[in-house]
Amino acid sequence: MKLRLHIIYITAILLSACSTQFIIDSKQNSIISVSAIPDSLITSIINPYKTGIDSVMNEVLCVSEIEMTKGRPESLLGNFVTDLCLEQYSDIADICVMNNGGLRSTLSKGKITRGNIYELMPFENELVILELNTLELFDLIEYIFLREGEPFSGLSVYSIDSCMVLSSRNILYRQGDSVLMSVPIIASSCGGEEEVYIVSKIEETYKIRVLTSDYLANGGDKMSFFNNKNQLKVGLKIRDAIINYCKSEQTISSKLDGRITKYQNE
Amino acid sequence: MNSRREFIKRAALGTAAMSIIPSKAFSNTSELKQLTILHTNDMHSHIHPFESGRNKGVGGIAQRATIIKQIRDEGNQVLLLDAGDIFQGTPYFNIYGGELEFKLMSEMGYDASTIGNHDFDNGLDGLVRQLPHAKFPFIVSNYDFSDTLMDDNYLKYKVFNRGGIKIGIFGIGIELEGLVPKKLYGNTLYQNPIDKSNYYSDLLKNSLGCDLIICLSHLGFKYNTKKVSDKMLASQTKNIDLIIGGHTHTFLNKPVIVENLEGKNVQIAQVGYAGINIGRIDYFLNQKMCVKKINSTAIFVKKKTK
Ligand SMILES: [Zn+2]
Repeated sequence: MKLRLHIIYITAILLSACSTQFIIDSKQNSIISVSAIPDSLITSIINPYKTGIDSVMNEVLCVSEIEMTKGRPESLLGNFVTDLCLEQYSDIADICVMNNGGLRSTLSKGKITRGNIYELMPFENELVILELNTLELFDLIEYIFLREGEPFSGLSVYSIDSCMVLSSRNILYRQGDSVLMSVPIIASSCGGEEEVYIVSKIEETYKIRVLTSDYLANGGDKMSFFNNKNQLKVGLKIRDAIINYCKSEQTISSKLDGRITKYQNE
Repeated sequence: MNSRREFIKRAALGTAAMSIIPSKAFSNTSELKQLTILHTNDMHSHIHPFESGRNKGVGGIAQRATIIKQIRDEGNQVLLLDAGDIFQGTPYFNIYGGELEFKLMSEMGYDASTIGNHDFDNGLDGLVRQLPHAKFPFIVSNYDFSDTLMDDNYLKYKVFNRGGIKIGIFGIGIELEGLVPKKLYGNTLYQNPIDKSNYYSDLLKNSLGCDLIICLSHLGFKYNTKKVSDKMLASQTKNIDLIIGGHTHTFLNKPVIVENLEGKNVQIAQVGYAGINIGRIDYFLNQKMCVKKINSTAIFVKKKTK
């Protein structure tokens, strides 16, 4: 009896143990292009939803003079979005930082509809402001260089070997509510905390106010310098900031201005 | 039960010595069964073909449905699968929250999907609210949802039977911390993808006797860092035949082959995003349910213009 059971098990194993030898037909392993008409049942399900979407999304907000795409180290699209956000909050923020991953499509040349902006910025992310000190600001710059560039506005940065140099536009130097002076930051760092060298009359303890998305402020994309910072919500979604700007400007454009540069010492 | 599994293990060792049996005895090429796997990933709420840019006229769910119907009409067994990130990318998601995406996938006969990071974009409640529109299961093996609204709404694995072929499917999700805001994923616990893959692929293969093991993964194809990817998963596990991947929006015209822990081949497939391509993998199995041949194609979906 015992022996018979053993035989049954062994047979079962032989049947289920496949050799790994199989043929992968290499001629078949290529892309084929198929042109298809739309399936009518699927189309009929989509139609009522499409009517609802079109009524809202086909509104033309502005005209773009150029096609804007994202990219590294800087890009037309990244500069466009961060510049317009900073412009809307230039009284309460010094610089603006976003992420390439958050820009989900391109803006084509010509008419820009509300739907185009939704495709660019589908997320419900809101704008927030956090304060960084000079050392933390260099952590941010280093992060941007490590990522080969992320969208930012309000700064000009370059790296040479392991050193980073940054300069800002005029930043209001405040004490409480009163403005003490308005000067740009010019500073350099070659790594290591003691080595931050600040050329301008700004103290190391001076706080730079960074406008960014709540996604990044809450730990998205591992921007660790934002960890545990107080966040000031400005009460506007990034998408709405772009929509507001487009509606007010009629014509939009962008340019690359060399705000981030990497020099190699030969 | 334990002693039986022990015995099977020992018996399996015995088969190595018995491999003198000619392989011809196991391959009757004239009677191969065909199983067609169709797969998509990172649809990102793309309903219509692209209207502008370099992808103009490409993709479209209604176009994809026509192609899938044509493939079904070939008469073979079909499994239609998705690797997550169904949500987020067009106003259809912003306004209708994924309802249309799930309805259309159900109508097209999707058999299963895993959960991508963007499927959390309206929170767990936003996902759960849309589940009544999905007539297919969500399979994810390394998220513990037991302390969340998703608790009774997902599967750790599922066995499909297609014409006598048993296909075991499990799912692997990406680490959520740093990728998805905590308030959206709530008390979802992320668990080690490699441990869970080994556990579920062993269960599906050796305890449930599946002929093919497929992992629906939203880990991403590969990274230059130590971050776990499909390539890493393939090489550090056993028993997986095919990983259908997503997240990195990688366009593979054919699956990439990686050796697993036992030196066996694992196929990794991924077809970009937005429904631009449909992945097609045809398995040909003999009567003993052994894979004898695999054909793979990426189908580039285009709008027919007159
Ligand atoms: Zn993803």
